[in-house]
Amino acid sequence: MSEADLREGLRAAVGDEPPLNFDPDELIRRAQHERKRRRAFVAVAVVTLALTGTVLSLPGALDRRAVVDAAGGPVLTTTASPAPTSRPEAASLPATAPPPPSATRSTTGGVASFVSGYLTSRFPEVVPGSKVTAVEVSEVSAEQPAHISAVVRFVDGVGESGLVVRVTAPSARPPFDRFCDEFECDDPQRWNDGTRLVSGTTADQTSVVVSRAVAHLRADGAVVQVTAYRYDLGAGSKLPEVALTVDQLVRLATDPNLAVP
Amino acid sequence: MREAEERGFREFAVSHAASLRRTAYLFCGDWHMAEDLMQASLLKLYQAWHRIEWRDTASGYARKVLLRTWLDEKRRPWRRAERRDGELPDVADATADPEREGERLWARDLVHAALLRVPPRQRAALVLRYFEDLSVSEVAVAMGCTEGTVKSQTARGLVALRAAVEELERGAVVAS
Repeated sequence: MSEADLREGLRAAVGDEPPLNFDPDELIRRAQHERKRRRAFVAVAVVTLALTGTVLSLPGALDRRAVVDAAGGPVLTTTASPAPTSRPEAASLPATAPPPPSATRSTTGGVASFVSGYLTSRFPEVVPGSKVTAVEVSEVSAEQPAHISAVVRFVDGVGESGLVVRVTAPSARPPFDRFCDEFECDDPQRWNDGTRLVSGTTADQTSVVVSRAVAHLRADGAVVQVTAYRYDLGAGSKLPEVALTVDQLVRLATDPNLAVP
Repeated sequence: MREAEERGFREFAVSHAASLRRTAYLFCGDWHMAEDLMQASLLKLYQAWHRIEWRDTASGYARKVLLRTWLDEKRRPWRRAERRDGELPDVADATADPEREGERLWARDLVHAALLRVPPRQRAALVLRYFEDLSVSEVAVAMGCTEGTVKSQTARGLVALRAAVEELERGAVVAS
């Protein structure tokens, strides 16, 4: 078979071509439908991936908040507006703590609301140039001793970080035992008003301080512990140093407005 | 897609639908499937019509899409076992000379039946070279291979086609 025969044979093969019922409008309608379907599929896939990523990453982020005790009571979160630009140097100590805002402290929800609002306004005074982005308050009143934990998220000139404030009601247990189990304690200081104060740090394997805390034993036996970290509590990203100085921690720990009702 | 682009696509589809279906028929040997292949290729072409770089050679691009659509279709497992022996005419043509018409039909069916025995890519090379009358370089673009591959595929395809024709002719002689 020559090439000419092949050409002729191929032309003959399509000689009995059936009529063509081609509708370009219908074709374009199908194509547009297909395009919409594909875009919808992509959108669904993107949303699914985003949700999956969020769900998978949340446990890791939450695990870093090991200091927060949220075993019991309600959690209150408040969110503040965006951040300032520069990290301050050590703050000067005020003579007295400011009067508390006009929130009720009589009920459980009222305490959470009060602590949340108070820390949101008080924290930037203690740490000038910072901005509180969120406060999560957990109340545990069913266990003994009852306590309140508040996680304060803030931004300063260095970056995002967090602070944990724990107010524990008076209990029979020696007040600084738990604190010194967790931190490398300094010698406790006894103050003229009969209260006692101790500070401590934790360090990693290379002796770099990763958290710093102060505990204040009140005259009534309650303990206020304030802990600052060298990393962001949410994302875990490291900071050059622990976000708060000892003086700033002391000002918060000795604040009489932070107490279990 | 903008209105001008859609108008351009519509004109292209109307003018090329028949030729694409003929080529598809020579690829697959079935008019119904050829129609499906043509429609599927035009649908794919619509999705890519906004890319203007190949607009000047849209027919070449359409052939490439058609060929790939057919090869993809052939790779599907439920297509592998398909075999067809041609179609019987439903109505006799009273005006045709029965003897000459018989010879013509025989020659037509012989080439087509033999073509369907040639491996797919060699078959595609033969159809594009001898039915579409494309140059070696144009076939290389449509098949996505080098010109050397096109030449070798064409040569092997011709050998396979001639062998198939001889085999079919021998079978016909024995049967008669």
